[in-house]
Amino acid sequence: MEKDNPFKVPGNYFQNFKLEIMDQLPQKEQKKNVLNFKQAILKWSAVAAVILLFIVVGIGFMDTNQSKNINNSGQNTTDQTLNNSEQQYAALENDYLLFLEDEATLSMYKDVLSSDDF
Amino acid sequence: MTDEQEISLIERLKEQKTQRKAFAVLVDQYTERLYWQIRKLVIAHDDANDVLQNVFIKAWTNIDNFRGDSKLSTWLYKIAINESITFINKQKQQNIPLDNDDSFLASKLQSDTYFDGDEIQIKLQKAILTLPEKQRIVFNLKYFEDMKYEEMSSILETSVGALKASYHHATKKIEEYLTNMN
Repeated sequence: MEKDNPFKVPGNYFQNFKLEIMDQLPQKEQKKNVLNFKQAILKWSAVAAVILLFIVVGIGFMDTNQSKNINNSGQNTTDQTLNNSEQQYAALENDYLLFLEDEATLSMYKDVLSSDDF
Repeated sequence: MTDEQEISLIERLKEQKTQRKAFAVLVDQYTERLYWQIRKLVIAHDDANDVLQNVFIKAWTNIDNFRGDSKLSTWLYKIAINESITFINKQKQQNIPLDNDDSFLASKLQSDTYFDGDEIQIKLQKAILTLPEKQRIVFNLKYFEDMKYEEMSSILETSVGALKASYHHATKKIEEYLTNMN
């Protein structure tokens, strides 16, 4: 049997359809280039792990200093030295935390920040 | 569409700036093929038009989820066939159940303004309508589009062997129907 097509379409149906369907497609929202949830979790876990490492190393450093200084005479001088070290360390740690936050934010919004619209 | 053209089109479909234009290319490439497949399932032109619109709107909505694991045609055909089946099932629910579920499709065949077949064509189409749904899909894809079984297998997620068997049974049933009608 020949494969004639008994089904017909109105005149110019396909040309008209192609134009009309494009008008019917909903507009899509502009996507920001943000990390998806899983990537964000992984990234922030890495940041947290680094911070934790610093804290652990810092505590270990402080403990070592403390035990060295207790063995020496001149307790007041020792305490003062310890406080200065603690303060310096806390300042360094704080600076590093701020740096990590900035880096994370910059990498998440890299494309937005670099676009002409922004 | 060549493989290179398809890869390029998929890349453009993934980029927000080029997505709409690329989708217009997709529409241009596949409208007719999809329409005819849908039409042969739902029979009436107006119904096929409605289903085809749904197919492209669904494709547009989900284009960001298209991973490129399959060809664009495979993906679109899957949507088209699923939408057609959904449409038919809705229509079946709305119609009063008769002895033969597909009799309402046969009645659409005769009442459709855009069906212009002779007596033999009408008999063939009615014979096809007696097939179970999946067999009808397989028959249409193979007989009218001469689609390769491997491509059909991707679309229908059925083995090539099962599809070949299905097509064989379909042709036998149609032959019997036409013989009995004569």
